[in-house]
Amino acid sequence: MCLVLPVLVLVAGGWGGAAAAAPPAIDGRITEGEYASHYQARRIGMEVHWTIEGDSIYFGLKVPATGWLAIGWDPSGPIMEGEDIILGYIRGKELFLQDYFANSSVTHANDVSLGGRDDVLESSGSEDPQSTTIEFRRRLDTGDRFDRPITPGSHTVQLAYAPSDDFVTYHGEKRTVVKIDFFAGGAQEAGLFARPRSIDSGRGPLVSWLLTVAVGVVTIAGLTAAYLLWSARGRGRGRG
Amino acid sequence: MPAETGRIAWHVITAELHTGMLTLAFASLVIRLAGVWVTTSNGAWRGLVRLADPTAFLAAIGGLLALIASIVTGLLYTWPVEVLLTSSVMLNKIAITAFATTFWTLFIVVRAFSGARLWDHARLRRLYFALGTGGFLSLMLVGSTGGHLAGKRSMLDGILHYLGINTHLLFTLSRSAIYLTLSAVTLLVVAAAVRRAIWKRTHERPLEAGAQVPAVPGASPPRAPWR
Repeated sequence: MCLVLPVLVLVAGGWGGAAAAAPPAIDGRITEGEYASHYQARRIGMEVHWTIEGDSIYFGLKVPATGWLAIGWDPSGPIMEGEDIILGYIRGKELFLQDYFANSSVTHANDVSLGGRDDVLESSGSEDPQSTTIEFRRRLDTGDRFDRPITPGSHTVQLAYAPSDDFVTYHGEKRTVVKIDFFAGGAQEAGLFARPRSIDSGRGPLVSWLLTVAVGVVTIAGLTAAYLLWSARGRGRGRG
Repeated sequence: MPAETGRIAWHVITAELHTGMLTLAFASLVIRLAGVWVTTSNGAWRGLVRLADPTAFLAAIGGLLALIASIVTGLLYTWPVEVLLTSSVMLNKIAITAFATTFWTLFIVVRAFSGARLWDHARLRRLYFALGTGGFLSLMLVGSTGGHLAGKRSMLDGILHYLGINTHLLFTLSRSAIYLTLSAVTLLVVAAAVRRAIWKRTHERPLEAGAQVPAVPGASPPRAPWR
């Protein structure tokens, strides 16, 4: 069982590893064997290729759509809060790629606007009617407080893309969460979104929230009913 | 336009619709209330006051329907279930929306049962205005939380900060506060109901007796206790 489980995980996840001879060329095309490791999220059809070379990591991302695509890692949660995100799209023949940070569970802002740096060192991309490919390089540890360092061990990685270049477009079902060890290779589908803190800390917060909402509604309705029932004449005052 | 973007647009449309209509309802409510005290012979003002009550009522009905449609489109189309159940901002927004819906529903119910005569009774006027104000304030808070959800700032941020309200933190009451509030509200409703029953018993007997007596010219008819 100890041996079977890791093998199953790697096969089911679609991970592949191969020794890359030289650092990948950031040219907007991903060729066979160009990267040391790759993973295909079969449910959404997104490919992630990566190679660690020196103090940098090279990424190649490919999706079966012509809108924006994004990779993010290490959210503190809930959902994507605290995540380091690289998001890009191709308009015409020009690549737009930026370094983002998830400043809340469901929103993100580019690092520069938050007072950080854009730490994408090199990038290139291409698009055909069926797919979009983006390649980029960044340092494993950028030192920017809005980036998360890539270290040995498992990282929670979120992958998403959308049919439109407008990245306000919600990615809908085209998203997945994977556990990836960028150094050792190997990936495992973790389901949709990382487990949020509220779930990890039990169902208590959600139950308390539901009770709070119910109490609020009951209080508003109850006070109104009590006000209507209370006899003004019975108090001997309250004309009108 | 992708189908998903189109579906999200329905939420935006219904959100704008309910905000506009409920704001109109509140503005009309204020005008009608002002009309109770500000009585001039100015024709325009009198016309405005006369129209304000039906406008507030109809706008509140339309706004409540749009608010319900906005809730449905928001829950079904805009965010996945994981976000709905885990984002503190989202949960706060749902909670405040529930309060706003309650306020506006009661606002409509009170007006529907009382009719335009409501404005002749100070107690009902006060209740009607309180419900409208509660609905409007909670609506403002819903909009502000929606802005935070979209990653933007809100015009209310300064006030919220001053009041120590952080929409990014999940607002929940402790269990003891929940039980205490529920008990207090239940007791209050029961006490009001008992008091009304006693009042009816003590006042209906003289009325029944009074029914046997010939009416006194100029005597006012018996009034419902809450008016």
